[in-house]
Amino acid sequence: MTCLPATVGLGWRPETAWLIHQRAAELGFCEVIAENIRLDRPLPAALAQLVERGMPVVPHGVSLSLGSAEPPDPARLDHLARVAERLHAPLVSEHVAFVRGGGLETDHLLPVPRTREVLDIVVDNVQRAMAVLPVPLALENIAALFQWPDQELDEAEFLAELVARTGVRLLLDLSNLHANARNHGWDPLAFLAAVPLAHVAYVHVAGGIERNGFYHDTHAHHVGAGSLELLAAVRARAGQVPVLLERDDAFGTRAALEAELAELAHITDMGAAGA
Amino acid sequence: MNPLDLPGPTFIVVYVVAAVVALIGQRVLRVLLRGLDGRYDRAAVENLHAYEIAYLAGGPRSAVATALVSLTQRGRIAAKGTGLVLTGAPGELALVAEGVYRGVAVPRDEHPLDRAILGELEKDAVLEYSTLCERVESTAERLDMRLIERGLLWSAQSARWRTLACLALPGAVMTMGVLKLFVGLSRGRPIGFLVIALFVTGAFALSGYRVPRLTRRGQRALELLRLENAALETTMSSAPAQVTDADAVLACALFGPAVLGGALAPLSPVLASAQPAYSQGGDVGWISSCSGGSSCSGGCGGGGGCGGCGGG
Amino acid sequence: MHEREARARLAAAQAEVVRALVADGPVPPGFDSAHIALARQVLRDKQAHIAHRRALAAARATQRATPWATDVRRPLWRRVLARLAWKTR
Repeated sequence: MTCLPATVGLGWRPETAWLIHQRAAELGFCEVIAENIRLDRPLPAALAQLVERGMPVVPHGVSLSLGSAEPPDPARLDHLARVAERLHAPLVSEHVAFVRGGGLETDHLLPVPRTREVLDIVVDNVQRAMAVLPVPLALENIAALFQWPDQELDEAEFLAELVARTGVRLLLDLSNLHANARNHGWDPLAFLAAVPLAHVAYVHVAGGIERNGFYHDTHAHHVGAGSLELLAAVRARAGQVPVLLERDDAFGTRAALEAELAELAHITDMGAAGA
Repeated sequence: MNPLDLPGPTFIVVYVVAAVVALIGQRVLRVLLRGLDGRYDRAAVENLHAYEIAYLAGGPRSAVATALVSLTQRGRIAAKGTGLVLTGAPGELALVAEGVYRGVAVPRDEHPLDRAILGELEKDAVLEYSTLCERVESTAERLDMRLIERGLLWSAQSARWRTLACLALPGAVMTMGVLKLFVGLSRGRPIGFLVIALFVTGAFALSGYRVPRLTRRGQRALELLRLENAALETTMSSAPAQVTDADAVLACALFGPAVLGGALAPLSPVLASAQPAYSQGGDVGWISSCSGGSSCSGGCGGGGGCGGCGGG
Repeated sequence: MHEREARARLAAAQAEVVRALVADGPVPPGFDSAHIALARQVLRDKQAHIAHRRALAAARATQRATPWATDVRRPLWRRVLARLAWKTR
């Protein structure tokens, strides 16, 4: 259920632009934060070139808030759709989360309460979004900082039902899964067994650190063993699935980043930079 | 009939017409002399050395600046205040700053410009950038050889005569005007209009007479090189450690030493008088402070929630 | 409408949580206060980090726009001439 090549990819940032440019042949795709792109100006030259050369660039939204009580904001949906068109993207991705409430913004992805009632709302929101978007939508599971009381479904069930009822695809974030498993005591392998892996469009891995017994998904560290084990598990169960390395900060040296990509390629037996 | 004997008002009219024709002619001639061939030819830029690219982008001083960056990377020279010093035998590690300068470098063949710079530093312990540029000028100027061969640059003489040629037409008209001015003065005639006309002609003529050394082809080649390597400029300015040493030298050559930004720290006072920075054309549609994930900004396109993380 | 009521309930619940996280509101009933406290801290750190990144980007932009602002100043006429010379070399 993917429209992306089965390779390792890297999130496009100004800091990674050169690596991606030089390794465009091996890195099969990249991802860009949709809200970073201003449509009233031309794209950054480096990004425009990638698009011209036919590299799939996936716009990744962070502010649509499909888990909110309100239906998705038409203006934000429109922006996402237009970014997808501008980038000739094969799909777009967002999150199963809410980011605002009571008129306040949090600038962070927050977990939705997993009840059937809320599931109905999220299903409706997702269907509205899919109706507007010109390409398929994939939704990412987030790392939960807290849990709601009195939940009826676990995360895998929630996602499975969401997929079944809307046909939406999944962006399986293994580091977020690892974070939730560590922080809230779940079994990540049970999650993998229950979630519809056939509907996974691509996978995220990112680095994080453990502080005072809590795992933080920082996107600013080397990908940890926990995430890598889950990656191997996905490889075993679902074959070759596109993997995107997310790095937002503390990029380190070029050699280190390439080594990380090579490590991912090795675990998944797929091509990547440095491999 | 001697045009200088024409009555004042008639002369002014004749002058203005002649000046307009001459100025238009100057622009047309300049276009022709710059070369009409703006085709981009890959072969023309293949295998160019970083110093040659720097020369193309910014002349001999830019080439010297790039050489200094490269030599500092290789640990051969170091910055000392606003001057440069040798650091001793090859292979010795120089002042290693964070980012671009990693003293451990793959030994490379020395370019004649490198040798010239090191030679000058051997003679005089500490040298300032401008002084160094003057001293190695002849070697730096020789970088234009291949560039001229490939049609990317006019030779210095060629550029000079082309420029002079562009001055010829308006020059001739202005000379006539100046002569008439003296005639008018000697006859006690009013010369106000003529003076103004001369100034205006002069201003227009001076604004468009120079034929730069860069040919049209060279300009196109440079534009395309910069466009193709746009990602290098982007990454160099935001994460210098993500750029290898050789690529950093290329960045300096293409985009000017300022692109090295903070990574340039030790050399920055030295290169103060190097070329102004080239920067990516105007405003670009990217909100750079928001990189998503754990550090997404609330200002991105109307409020951003952020990337699935428990961390920050 | 059942859907409208459900959405209203969700909105109220989410508003409570958001207020607890960013507006010093009380921890809603049933939530682990340690987790909420941690979440508050994470969000605060994030805002600081964003501000830091913005400042860095602005500093970089200023540095690029006036590359040698803090360095050796040549007299204006020399700078103008040098700039002209470079532009039309």
